[in-house]
Amino acid sequence: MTTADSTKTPPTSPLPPFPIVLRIKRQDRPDAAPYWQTFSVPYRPNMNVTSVLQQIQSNPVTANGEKTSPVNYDAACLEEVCGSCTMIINGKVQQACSVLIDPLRAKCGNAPPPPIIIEPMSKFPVIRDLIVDRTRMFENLKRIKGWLPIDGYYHRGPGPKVDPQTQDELYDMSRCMTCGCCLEACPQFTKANTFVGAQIFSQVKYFNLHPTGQADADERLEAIMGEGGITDCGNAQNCVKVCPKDIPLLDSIGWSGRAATIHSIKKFFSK
Amino acid sequence: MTKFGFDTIAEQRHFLLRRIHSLMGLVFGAYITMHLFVNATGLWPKAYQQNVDHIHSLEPMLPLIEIGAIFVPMLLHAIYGIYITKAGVKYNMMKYNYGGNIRYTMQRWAGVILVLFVAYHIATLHKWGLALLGVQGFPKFDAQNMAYQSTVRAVRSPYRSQLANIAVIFFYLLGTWSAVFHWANGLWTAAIAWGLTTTAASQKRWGHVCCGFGIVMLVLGTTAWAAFAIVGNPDLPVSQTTTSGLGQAQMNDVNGHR
Ligand code: HEM
Ligand code: HEM
Ligand code: SF4
Ligand code: SF4
Ligand code: FES
Repeated sequence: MTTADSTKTPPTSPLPPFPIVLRIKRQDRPDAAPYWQTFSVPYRPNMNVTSVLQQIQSNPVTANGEKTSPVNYDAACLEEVCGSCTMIINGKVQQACSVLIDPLRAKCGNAPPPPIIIEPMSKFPVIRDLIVDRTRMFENLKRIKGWLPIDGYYHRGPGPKVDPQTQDELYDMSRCMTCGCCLEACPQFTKANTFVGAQIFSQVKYFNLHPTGQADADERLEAIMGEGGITDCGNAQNCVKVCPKDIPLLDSIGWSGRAATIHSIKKFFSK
Repeated sequence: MTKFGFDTIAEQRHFLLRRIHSLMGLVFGAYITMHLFVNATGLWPKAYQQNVDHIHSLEPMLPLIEIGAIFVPMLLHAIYGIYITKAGVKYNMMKYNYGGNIRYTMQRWAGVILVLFVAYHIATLHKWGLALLGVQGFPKFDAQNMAYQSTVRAVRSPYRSQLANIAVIFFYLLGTWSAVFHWANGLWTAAIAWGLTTTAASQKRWGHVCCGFGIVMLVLGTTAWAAFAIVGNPDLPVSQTTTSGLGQAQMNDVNGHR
């Protein structure tokens, strides 16, 4: 039943060899108007969206035979750890490298499968086609000092020990790949405001729980206590549903709320 | 890109405003809890009148309590709530139809309905509503022995037209249900906002508590609505609602009031 042996000839495959049809929302320049193009790629088993995009790149001809420019996309790791291939596939934000074609088609039985709809992320400026500019996320990481302060003029010796429970908690959050799925799905995060979104709350918690990171804990916290910070989360909780790395974002949001409450009281009385 | 942080007055004011909004929501929720409880006693006209008498025994402090504990919190919460509802957000419930997103969107819809409902509710029956402007024709709430009858009239018969009456009756149900949902869900989100529930598991547990509380509120609210809108009798003799023994002449007077 499975297509484990992909060297077999297509006729023995249980899936009918309908071509793979992609409908792609394209945009030539950051300031150009978007337009749609349909592409048809011969079926091969075990493809993912990225490998279909690769086929289109090697032969940029639309479904009605017109020659066009290759569709631009990002893909660095091809194994869901870099986040660069994040796009909207069939209405849901996800990684092109981890959306497999066969399971999508399996639902259609013997009927021709509907086109797969591909769009760039909508909450970030489009650079070209499916490539978006995620500078906002990296700027936000800079503002919260998303790093451990370990530079100095002399060797400081080994770092502090981290107990296993904290390690477990930190590991979950360390998997964030800045893909922006959580922001794309968040109703509070738009181009029209400065909301930072769930990923940042998680990174503040991540670095503040670390014994070395604690040196900058107050600054990190204060960076998410102003406009666009934790108070602006509306608890729609889409972020946690779409996070491909299963990061416990609700825990990070709750933690940030409590930390902000405590910090504001402390600051009121002792600063 | 705009800078953000907590070191400027503007940023601290933003934080304070959001937390005040949340707190005022809780204060107003406490009022709604009592309000629906008292109104549910409308099933028993005499008990309802007694409850209203009880509340009005707080005179002359009553206006102060009304302003400080009801109107100011409500206005602060409602005005800022409308701002939050708009503040550059992009609703996407159709695309990401998860439970949390549906609650999030409904919270905002309920808020908008509540602004309309409370505005109508207070304008038509409260002494500080349209009555203050000398507008006639709405059955103003009459706490003096006529609490029950005047409430029935407010919920049931402000207009001559039957169709308009049905619209008002259902507007009351919509308003009450919106308040119940908004209040129970607000209790759930407030616990996250303030940092009471800091894990997904505790948020789920607290969610069950809020759900239970919401069901109690739903029963109270719907009872209150039904007490006046369905079984209510606008012409109930005052002798059956008062314990203070009115003279016959006075009774005829109030019964002819309509
Ligand atoms: C029946 C009257 C109302 C009650 C009992 C009430 C109560 C609450 C409570 C307890 C919260 C939770 C606050 C938090 O998450 O921290 C809340 C949130 C909210 N309320 Fe109300 N509210 C009422 C009326 C309104 C009105 C008239 C609006 C205006 C549209 C409104 C808009 C909102 C919004 C947008 C939120 C979400 C705030 C956020 O998550 O940041 N509410 N409400
Ligand atoms: C079936 C449902 C309801 C009934 C029968 C009802 C009845 C009443 C009555 C008789 C008053 C006048 C009290 C007085 O002037 O002393 C009143 C006031 C008020 N009601 Fe309601 N109500 C209902 C639902 C609601 C809901 C759902 C809300 C809010 C979301 C609400 C908010 C208010 C407010 C803010 C006042 C003015 C407060 C005050 O009197 O100081 N009511 N209501
Ligand atoms: S809980 Fe909702 S509003 Fe908050 S960050 Fe997640 S998706 Fe956005
Ligand atoms: S938290 Fe999850 S969804 Fe958000 S950027 Fe990190 S990996 Fe992506
Ligand atoms: S290419 Fe790195 S996540 Fe898809």
